[in-house]
Amino acid sequence: MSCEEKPNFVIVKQTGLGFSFDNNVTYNSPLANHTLSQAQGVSHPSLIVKSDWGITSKNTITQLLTGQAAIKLVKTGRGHLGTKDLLIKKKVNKRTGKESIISKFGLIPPSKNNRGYTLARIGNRNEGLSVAELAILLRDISNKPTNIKVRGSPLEYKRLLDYIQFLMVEKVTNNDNLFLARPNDYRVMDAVHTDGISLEAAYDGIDENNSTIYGKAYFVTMDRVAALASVVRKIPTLYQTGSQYYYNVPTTNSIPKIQEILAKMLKDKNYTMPETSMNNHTNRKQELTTPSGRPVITSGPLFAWFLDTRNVNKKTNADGKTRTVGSDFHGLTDEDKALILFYWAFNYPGSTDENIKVIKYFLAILDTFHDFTDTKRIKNFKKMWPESSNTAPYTTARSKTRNGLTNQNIPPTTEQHKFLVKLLGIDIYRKVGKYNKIITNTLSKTNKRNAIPIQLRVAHFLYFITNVLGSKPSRGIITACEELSRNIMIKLSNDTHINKPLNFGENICKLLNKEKSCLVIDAINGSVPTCMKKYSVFHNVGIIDPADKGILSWGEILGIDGCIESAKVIAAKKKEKKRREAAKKASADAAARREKAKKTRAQRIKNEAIAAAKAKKYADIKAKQASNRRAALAAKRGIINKPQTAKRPRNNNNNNNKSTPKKPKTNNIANNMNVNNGVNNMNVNNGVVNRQRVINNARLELNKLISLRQNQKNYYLEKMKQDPSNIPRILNNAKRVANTQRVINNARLELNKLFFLRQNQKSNYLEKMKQNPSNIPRILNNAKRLASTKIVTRSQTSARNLIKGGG
Amino acid sequence: MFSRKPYTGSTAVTVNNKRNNQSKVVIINNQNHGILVNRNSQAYRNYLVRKSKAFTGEASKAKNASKGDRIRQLVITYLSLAYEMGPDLERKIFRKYILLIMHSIDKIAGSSTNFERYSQLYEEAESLTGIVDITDQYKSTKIILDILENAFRIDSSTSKKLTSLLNF
Repeated sequence: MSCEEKPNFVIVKQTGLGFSFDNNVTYNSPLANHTLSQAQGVSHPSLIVKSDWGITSKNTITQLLTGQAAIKLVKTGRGHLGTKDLLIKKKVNKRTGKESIISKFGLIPPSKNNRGYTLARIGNRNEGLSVAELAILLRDISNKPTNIKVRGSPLEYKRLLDYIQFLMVEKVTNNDNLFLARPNDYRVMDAVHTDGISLEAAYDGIDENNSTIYGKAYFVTMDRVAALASVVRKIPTLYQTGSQYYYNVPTTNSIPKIQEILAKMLKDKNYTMPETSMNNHTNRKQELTTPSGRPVITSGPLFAWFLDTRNVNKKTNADGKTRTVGSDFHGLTDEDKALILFYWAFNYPGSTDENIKVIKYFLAILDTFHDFTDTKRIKNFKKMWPESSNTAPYTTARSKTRNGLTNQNIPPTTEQHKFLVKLLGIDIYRKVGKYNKIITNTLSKTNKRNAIPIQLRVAHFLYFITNVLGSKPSRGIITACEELSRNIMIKLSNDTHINKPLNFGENICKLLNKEKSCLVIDAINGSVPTCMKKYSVFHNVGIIDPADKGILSWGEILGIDGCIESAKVIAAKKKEKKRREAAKKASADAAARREKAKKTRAQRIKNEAIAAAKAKKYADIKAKQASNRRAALAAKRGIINKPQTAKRPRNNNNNNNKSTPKKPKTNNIANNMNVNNGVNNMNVNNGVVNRQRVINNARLELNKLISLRQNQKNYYLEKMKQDPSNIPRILNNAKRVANTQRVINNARLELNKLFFLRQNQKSNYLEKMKQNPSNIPRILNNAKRLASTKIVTRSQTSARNLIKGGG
Repeated sequence: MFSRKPYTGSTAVTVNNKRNNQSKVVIINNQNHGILVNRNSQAYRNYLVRKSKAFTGEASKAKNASKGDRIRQLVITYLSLAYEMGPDLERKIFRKYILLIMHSIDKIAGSSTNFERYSQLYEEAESLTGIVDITDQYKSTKIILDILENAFRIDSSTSKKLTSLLNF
């Protein structure tokens, strides 16, 4: 046993010969009978709700499974509506923004073992589906175009969670043989788990007076509609208002008292109950008339208790006379409409049993509207109760309340219904043929349209209530009904609360102590007053509907020595603690690693920035050096500034932009005029630059004269700069000189080829050539002739030497 | 036993939940002075025995208890066992519960012939190890519930129905 664990009470049943456990709780709703039990055995943690809709089981949800039982079913490979996966509800951590899964749920289709659908939910606890989860489920089904018979059935599984709590209270309180018992006695457990305690001592320690067994319970809630549903069933109920006043609502003769309260409320608003005949129909009575005098509830041979929701209008009788019909019900305030509806339902004709059955059915439908019209809870399926701006569904519902309901109004299961009225309507009409005798008896007396089968009349009756509640957007009527429920309970309590907010449940605790009763707390505003906690019991109904407020854990239910935890739990806790610490350490390590990585990353980025800056600086220096070097060389060559030609824009074939202006064609000189100074690429064309242009051209011409030496070129260039007007002449001179030098050079080359001339001879000829360039050909011929003579002479000398020597 | 609804109520006391973090040492009342003892010490065991007797008025109540009271004790013992049932239930604990239930049944029947044997088996149970199979637990539940349903017919032979459960 863990000290944090909350003990789960069980229902013990006294029999004639002994006792047994009777832990099941049943709710007979208008549409199905649901029974809550453990999946297996009295101590099994998983819960199961078995449902009997009275119709073909394969077209119904036959069970709701939670916890391990649901996991076991899903593990067989079956998911939501035949798919592999279940639907998921997630939540987002506001601080970290991380998403986490709250639950997985879905409708498992029928199988051989289970002949109907299974509603399964897997979550942290063994609870049933919340309104938000059911809204997700209904939305998913509504998007499927196939014929799904159970389109509206999940709605039932919210109401049963509310109802099953007070029904458990009813079961125990109204049966003298049933008791709510704490599931164990810690003294027994203490003795068994402590070594060295003898059997006798352990047995003597068991004192039945120390056990916790209650024969009566109170249902505690702030839910107005659920509280009223509890009160009409004569279930002890403590109703808590929003301002935390508690009312112990008397249950004796609750329905006659409520009828009186409603009548008084109506009279206070100038409604009358004349019970006089109608003007044009003597067999009809005006049962309730509005302040304007229009009968809103009438009785007659056809309808024994007719709620007239028609607009005020003229109608022609058979004799040709006109009469006024209608009450303008939908034109009344929401408060008045709620009051009339309650008065109509609570005074519905029939025996006590019949009357209460109608009341229960009315409150059951109202409870569904109470849950599924809360925009926050159904935010995942807004079309279920659309915004006020979308009035179409509400208008349709309203028109149905006026014109009566026919077979044409039955919502088919093949359509993708979204509106709450339609979703409820599906199951209301599917149940036709299986409504119980009490309700059919009632309707057979109040609705004499015998042409319509009685079962269908019941369905029309329930669908009429549904359409009235769904006839106006913005929850107007629903809120008014909730407020009225609250007022009824306060009036039933004679406007006297048992506890006000600041006396900490003192009077309630005195009552519980006196009656030796316990509390089954549903949902309340604020925390449970301390003294009430020890009376709060926890049963399966509190597990399946997540409402465990005020339940004391074993650690809080202490004897002298406190809570003893079993070795198993201690070991598990130790293990868990170890795991948490390891996780924490890992988390700390991870945080440190992240921090270190962050720093390293920052340092790397910084280093890269420094390196990039350094490289850029170095590149700039290099570029500058290169530029200086080029400038120096240019200066050395006499070039002041080599003009840069602007790059011609690249002609992209894909560019179809014909509007791009073409660059005007320019000659080389003009191109050379483009000065790109790095600041602005503009054409500068003035006198100074023109002169420069001419000099540059002359320089180009000079450069072409390869026979000139560099110093000669510099010399001519300098002369040009000094006297630009003489450039052509200077250039001609240079060309002439260059030509002479070229000829001399060529002649020198020819001379060099004459191997038989001595070097001094060559130098003499070369000097002659330079002195008289025009005679170069003649001089060169002389040199060649001389060279050839020398060749012959040498040949003869050699022959002579040969003769002499060979002789 | 339950001839009319005995509105006995709860004797629960609310205390600080921080004490739940159990230590091996506990404070016990020794002549109106709190003393620290080890939870597994003989002193604590003696204290529990004294305390258990104090609950029942120095064991006199147990002697004078009516049949109805004794049946109720049996119910409480079974509820505690049912509460502890599960896949990890130790053999030692299970056997102690069964013996306690058998002892309780014989007390209801007014038979004392087996008490000595039960006491001996109860002491020996402390040396048991291992866990009880879940199917055996369900089997025992069925037998005990059957006895409880006929609690007013308990006689000296009833406890024999549980003998087979001691073989685990």
